[in-house]
Amino acid sequence: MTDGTLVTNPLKRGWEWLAVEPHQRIGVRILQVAIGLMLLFRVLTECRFYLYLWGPNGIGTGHTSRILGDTLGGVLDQLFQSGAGTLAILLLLAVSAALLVFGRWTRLATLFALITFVSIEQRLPQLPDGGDNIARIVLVYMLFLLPPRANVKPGSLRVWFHNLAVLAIATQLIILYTTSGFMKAFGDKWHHGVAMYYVSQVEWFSLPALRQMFMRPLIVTLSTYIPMFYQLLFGVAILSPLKVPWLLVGICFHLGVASFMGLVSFSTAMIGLECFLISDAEYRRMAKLVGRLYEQILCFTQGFTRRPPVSARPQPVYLIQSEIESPRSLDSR
Amino acid sequence: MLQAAFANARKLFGKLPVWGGVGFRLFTLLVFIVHFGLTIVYVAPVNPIKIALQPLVYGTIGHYFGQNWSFFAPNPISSNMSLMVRPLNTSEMTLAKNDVLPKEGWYDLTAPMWERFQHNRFSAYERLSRPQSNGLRMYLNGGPELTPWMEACKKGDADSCRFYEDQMVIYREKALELLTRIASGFAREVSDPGSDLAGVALRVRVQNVVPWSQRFTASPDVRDTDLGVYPLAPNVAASGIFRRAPEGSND
Repeated sequence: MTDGTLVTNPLKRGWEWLAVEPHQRIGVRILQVAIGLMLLFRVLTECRFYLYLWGPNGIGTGHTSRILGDTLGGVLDQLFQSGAGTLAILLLLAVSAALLVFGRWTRLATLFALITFVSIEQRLPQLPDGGDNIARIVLVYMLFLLPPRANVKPGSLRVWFHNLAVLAIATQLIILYTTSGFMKAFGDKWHHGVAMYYVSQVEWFSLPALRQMFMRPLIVTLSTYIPMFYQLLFGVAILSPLKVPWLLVGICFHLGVASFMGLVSFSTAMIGLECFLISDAEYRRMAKLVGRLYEQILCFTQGFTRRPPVSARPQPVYLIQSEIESPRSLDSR
Repeated sequence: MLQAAFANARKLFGKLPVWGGVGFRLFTLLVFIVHFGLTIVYVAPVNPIKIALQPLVYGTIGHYFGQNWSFFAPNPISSNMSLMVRPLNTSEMTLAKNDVLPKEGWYDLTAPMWERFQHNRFSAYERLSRPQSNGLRMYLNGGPELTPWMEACKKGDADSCRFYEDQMVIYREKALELLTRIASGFAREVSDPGSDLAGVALRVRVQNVVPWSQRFTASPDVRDTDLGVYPLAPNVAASGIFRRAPEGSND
């Protein structure tokens, strides 16, 4: 192998990854469901206050035309001038989110979700959190993803755009984690391992029942350093063999954020993004592993419990057991 | 209609000759690299490249792909910041303009939301408290978007100081408009329909978390800062979650 091929091969491999087959089809579907659920959660919990938050006399007075231009932005700004128009925007967002969850007309649903989501964000920019921020950016890239059941010609331009969007979402997530980790690394309280004590004591993001727990040095130090190092090393870890365990830790971490800090919509978006990064082949391997574990558990529990009826028994286990338990029937054949 | 547009675009791209297809793909790859290059500059701490590319980065990424991933960094939130409101009638408004603010009748709008939110994580209370908390942070220090500039300014960077001060004027104006609207909606909600409401007095209550080293010995200090007196914003909708209290105050 010459030096030239050593240099060109990674480039060729990269090009083929982008150009030939669509990637992350399962991850894309999970991401669509997660973003859809997150948007639905927001609409369902906040629609009661639509007049107060975004209505013609609400506390939000921002303009959508700043981002969406005078034509589309003008139409949306006009809609915010009436209660019915404001409600219509929320309804359209809810329908788009539901379509994303059920995997129907996903590109159209993504487009309408993006427009309506940006419009409510611009109307009251002090309302969104980090989850909304990443969802808004990811919705732009999701416009280029293939619909769930699309059959595409390998090497087509649709595949190229799909894979480029996959790469964009992954890059954006790496930027998110690395920036956050980087900023934490030079903050005094993170540096000295006490940041989580302060977060756990403020009313906004805490549960009073857990405040005492975060006064213990071991818990506060570990809970401060682990997320910081997790975020700092995220970009490297997901390119290493540690990728899947690393992402599973992230999912557990965000389940904790949802329950203890109450950031439900943020965590839903982040869990969706972490699941998105797992490749189709990795999902298949995980499914196989889970299937094998299930079989082993079934075998193990059958040793303690009464045998289920023949129809309810899993086929491979039945075959093995019949061979062991009734050798006479084999002889009589 | 949009589905048809997608289908037409698909046919059009399908007809691209092979060399055109490769050229087009290379062009999209270049757009991708430039986009994420600018994104990295946008999210990076203040540095010479960021300062040099500021108009380009803020006009593109800042405008259409604005993002902030500080997430409790560089230092986590370490205080409870509540918006306090005192509805004022015409005579109280006249006195308030001469710096005489009533001592009684102040309402804490933020703390009850947090308390309810701690009991129900699947509710909108946290969202409803966000405009108040973020409005106060915007007024006091510009919020998370300006934090890197404030930090760089504190370290003596003159360019950062100039940018921070210019932005603070805009942020404060926006914050006051938002806080006055929140307070006005609330004042209408808790006042008698025929009452002589003329304005609102705003105050921020900051309760700092006890430092780690004193966590078993000290108690949190509470500080109130007046933000001023403002005429009632016309026709602001009520949130519908504050009921009129018989005695008028929960302070």
